[in-house]
Amino acid sequence: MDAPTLCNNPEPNFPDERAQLLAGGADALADLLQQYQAPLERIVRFRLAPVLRSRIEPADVLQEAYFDISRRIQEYIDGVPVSFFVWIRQKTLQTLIDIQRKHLSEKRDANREVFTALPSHGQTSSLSIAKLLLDDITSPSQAAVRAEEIQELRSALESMNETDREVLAMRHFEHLNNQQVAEVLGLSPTAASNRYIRAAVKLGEILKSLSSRHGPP
Amino acid sequence: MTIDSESNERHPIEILADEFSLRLRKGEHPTIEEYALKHPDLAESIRSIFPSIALVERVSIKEDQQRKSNPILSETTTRNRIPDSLGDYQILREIGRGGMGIVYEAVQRSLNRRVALKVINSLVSGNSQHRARFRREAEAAASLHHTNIVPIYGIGEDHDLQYYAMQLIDGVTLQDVVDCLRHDFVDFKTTTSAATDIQVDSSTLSSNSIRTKLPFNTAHAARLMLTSSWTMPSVENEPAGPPGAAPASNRAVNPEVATVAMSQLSQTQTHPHFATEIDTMLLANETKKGSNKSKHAQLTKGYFRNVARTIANVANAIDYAHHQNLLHRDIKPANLLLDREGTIWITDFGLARRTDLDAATQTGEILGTLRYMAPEQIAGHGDSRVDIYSLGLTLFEMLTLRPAIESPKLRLLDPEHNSVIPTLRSINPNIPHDLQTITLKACAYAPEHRYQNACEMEADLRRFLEDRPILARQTSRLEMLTRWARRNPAIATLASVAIGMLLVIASLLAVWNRQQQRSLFEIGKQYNRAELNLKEKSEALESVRKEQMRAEMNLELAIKAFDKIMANIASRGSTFDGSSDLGEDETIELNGASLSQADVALLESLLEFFDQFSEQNDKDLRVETATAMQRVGDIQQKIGKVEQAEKSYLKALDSFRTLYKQSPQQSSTLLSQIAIYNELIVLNAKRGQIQKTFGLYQDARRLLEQSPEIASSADGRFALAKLLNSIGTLGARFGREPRIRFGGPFGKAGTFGDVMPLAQAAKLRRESELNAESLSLLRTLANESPENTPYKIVLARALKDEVRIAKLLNDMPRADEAMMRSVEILEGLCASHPDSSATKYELADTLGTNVGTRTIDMQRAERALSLCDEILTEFPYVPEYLALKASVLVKLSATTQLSTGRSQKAEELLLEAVRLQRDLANRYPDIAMYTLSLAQSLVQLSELEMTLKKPAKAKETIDQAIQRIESLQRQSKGEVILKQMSERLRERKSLIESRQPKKP
Repeated sequence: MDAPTLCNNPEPNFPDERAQLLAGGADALADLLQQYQAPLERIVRFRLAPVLRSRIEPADVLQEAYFDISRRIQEYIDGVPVSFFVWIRQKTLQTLIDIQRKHLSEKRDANREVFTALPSHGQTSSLSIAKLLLDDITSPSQAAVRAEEIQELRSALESMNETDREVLAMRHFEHLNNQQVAEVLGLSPTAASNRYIRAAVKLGEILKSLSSRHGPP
Repeated sequence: MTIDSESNERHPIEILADEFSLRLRKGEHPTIEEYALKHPDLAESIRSIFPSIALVERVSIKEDQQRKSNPILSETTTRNRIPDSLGDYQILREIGRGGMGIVYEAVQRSLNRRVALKVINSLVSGNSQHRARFRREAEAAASLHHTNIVPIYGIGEDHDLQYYAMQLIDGVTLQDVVDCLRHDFVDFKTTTSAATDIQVDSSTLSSNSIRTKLPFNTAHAARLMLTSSWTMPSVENEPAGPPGAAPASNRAVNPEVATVAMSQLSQTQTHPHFATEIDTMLLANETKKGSNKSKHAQLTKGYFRNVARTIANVANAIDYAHHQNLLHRDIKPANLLLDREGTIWITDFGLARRTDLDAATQTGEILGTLRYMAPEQIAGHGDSRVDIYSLGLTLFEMLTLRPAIESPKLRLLDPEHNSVIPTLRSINPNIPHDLQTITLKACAYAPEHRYQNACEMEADLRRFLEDRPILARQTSRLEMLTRWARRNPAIATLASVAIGMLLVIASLLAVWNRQQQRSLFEIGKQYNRAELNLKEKSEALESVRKEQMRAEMNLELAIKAFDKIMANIASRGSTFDGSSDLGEDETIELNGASLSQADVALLESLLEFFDQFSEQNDKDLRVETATAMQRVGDIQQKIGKVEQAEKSYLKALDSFRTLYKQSPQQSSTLLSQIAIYNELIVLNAKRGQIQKTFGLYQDARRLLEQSPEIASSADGRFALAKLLNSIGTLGARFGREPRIRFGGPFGKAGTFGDVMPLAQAAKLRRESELNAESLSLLRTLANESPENTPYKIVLARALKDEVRIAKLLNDMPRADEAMMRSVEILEGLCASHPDSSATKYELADTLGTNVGTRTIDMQRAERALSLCDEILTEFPYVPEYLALKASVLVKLSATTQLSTGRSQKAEELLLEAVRLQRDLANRYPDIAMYTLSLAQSLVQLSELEMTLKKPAKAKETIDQAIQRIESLQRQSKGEVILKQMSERLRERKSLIESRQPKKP
């Protein structure tokens, strides 16, 4: 029941959710979406381009995404070979990208520098992480994390290879489990598991070299 | 979180890191050393990797905490961007925020007055086009002058922000009032914040509501609404006109005049005398703590009147604005402010949203208001009546203290289903009847059923306040049914005859409603008054009698319409019920896929309607109620809710039994019982509970024979024939007939029949006897009335069963003869009813019964298949049709294999059948026959796979079959047949396994 992303079921029962959708129609869909709302909202919050954070509410993105999902649910039922959660995550992220694009293109003429700040797809995670960190710096009362740590992490992430960064982002910021990461990346659970360790090792190395070279800013 | 069983597949450190992260998220403080010590072999890696993981998690967790402590994430950024002053206005403090923007208290320097300054969220103000439009709309809104509309002083743009200034109202939103009354009624003196907290949590709703923290607090406002001494002086002075005449009609005719008059009225209302009472007032019920009911009990008559008055004033203001061509588009409790004087203020007129919903949807702005939006507004259009709708929902919420629409998000998926408004009195029976009527009329689904303008709605509310009869009439359940029926796409295909009839009934029912009763009452009063005048007396009596007759006539029509609708619902995709009145012009077959739980809900509400009617009118509607219950069962059975269907049938059976006992000469109540028994037999056969069906059959037969005269009537004989047919042919009907035999790798013919050991000689003999009896009854009936279609259909069916039985008895001439006769009857029916898919179904079913190796058998099977495809093109989801197609495919596959030896082709056909059957079994897990058919096909497939030398596949397939049967066994405990079956399958499996090594 709680936190569907945390269930470590190695063989997620795709047909179950499919059968549920087939039998229950719109109600079943609504139930499932409800169930996954919290994890999805977390993901949107995290992926939202920092420049648009004051303008787009994650709940609104979800609303749009649900709309899209309900229209395309047959595609899923017909056999998208991933778990329902991974599928709706993908649809939600696509919606998010569309909404962001729309927003920024509206602003394009008036505000060119804003437009250039639109992250390419792959950049999103490090930008989002960086944004979290910047937020932290701007609100000193909540400075539970030391500034140099944040700076470190930010630079470290930015210098990483994209897939590694994605794996870390999905595991620690989106709270996906290994199985789900595997599905997203089209890897076997074993491969995803190894990939995660590799990324963590790299992150550690980068952090180490950064702090030894520059020290705290 | 435990480490899963397949951990060996994952990197050991990743598993530990996962656990480490989860513990951090749970707020625990695991140390890296603890992990290193516990796993010495991995210690080095742990020490090098975990610190960066801990860092990432810390950052992530911090973000979560920040979000929790600060629900509006954008706050920091937005606030940072708000300067100390904007144009002429100096910002003092924030007083509320919503989806549109933030409201500040500010001082207008030039005039040195306090104002409320709303700074528009850049999300809402959007691009330059939007800004221009916002400006235009704000200018229009600024031109509104009405006592109940918050005046706009000016608009401006500064620091790239759009804002407008309006009068600062010392009040609270009705949303807050409702929340206060709902959540924190008893003790609101001290804990007004409780309601506020709840609001913040329900994020979607609250985002738009403006929260204020002024001396006049929510508790005051709530008490204000509960004060019965808060009265409106002048309107009550109007002489109460005769019932039916509408004194407010002059206002309706000339709204301009009305507006002025009404706004003056409202002005007088702003000087009530409750101010001192607020503090001294003690609510009698206030101390009653506890149950939900007491909460409702405390809503006094005075409260409902205050609500009516308040909403009437809002309606008046809306009407005024509508005459200035300005729509609000976002009426909801959160946009209505109640001040300490008791005056209601509408905020954000015309500003709340832009006209085009597209843009709103793009930004997701639609969300906060979705709950109050008219359905057509959700669809992106709508006129001034959208405000009426939203006001209706606001009224609903004020009266019931709960939102009318429970799941606004679902409205995006399916506005139709999710805009159903419950009746108010079902939530709180103390709500005055007329207020319920007004509310339901205001938020009717179709704009044309609502008040056509706000003035009408106001007028009705005033009538209520003056205890005069309102003009709106209560939508009867039947009218709701009719509206529903018209909206329902499946019903929409009803023949025009039926639709026309429904419309007539809907309008006739206008007479039979509460107002009707009121007028009866009036007549009664007249009668009393005219006691001395004999002439008047007899006239009054006459009209009483007439009214009663009319009411009963209407009811009769209503019931007929109901039956028509029911018959149509019941015949959607109906294939088992031979009594479906084919041949009558009105009968249309409808798409089974469109049946849903909503149909059941609708019917249940109809049951309630019948009950109420009986109560009020001394009319015995128990037959109708029982019939409706039976239909509920039909629908439930169709949509696969087998358990509920059985319950409904049993209830209906019980009612009919009682009725029959009371008047045994009534044959219909007896025949209804038999019909229900028949459904119960079908239903239990579908579930695989064969034993139970025999008991039911015996009960039914005994019952019928208790009454010789009914039993010997045509209807009685037909009922018996159907009963015999149902019980005698369960095997054939439900896919349990032994498959034709074919030689496989396992040698002898007959192997297959042994797998499903149903055709034991005794059983066959019994079936043969039962069917012979059924046949002879039906032949006689068909001879007596050759034009009767149901007789023919059931006869054709019985003949088809004869085919099957004769074949099993190896009496081929008899089988061929019966086949010919059955096909002949059905071809005849198909020719006279070319559009009837039920007839096509029967024909296909018959043609597919006897699939042998002869050319004619193959041709028949092919024809059956093409008939199936024909009806499936039209009704792609009707389970019975799909099941039939699968069964024909199975037989065709067997025949193909047998006659041509083309195993591959046979495999293709069989795979297609298995696909269909698997879908059905998954969709309807309660219906055992689908699972059984699937299992049988799987067995056949595994045989075939052995022939094709794919032993591994064959084993896999038989495993699937075993799984299916065993899950069925768990469902229906103790069915002997299932147990035998699964044993046989296991034998089969070991046989396959034993062959495997020999054929690597």
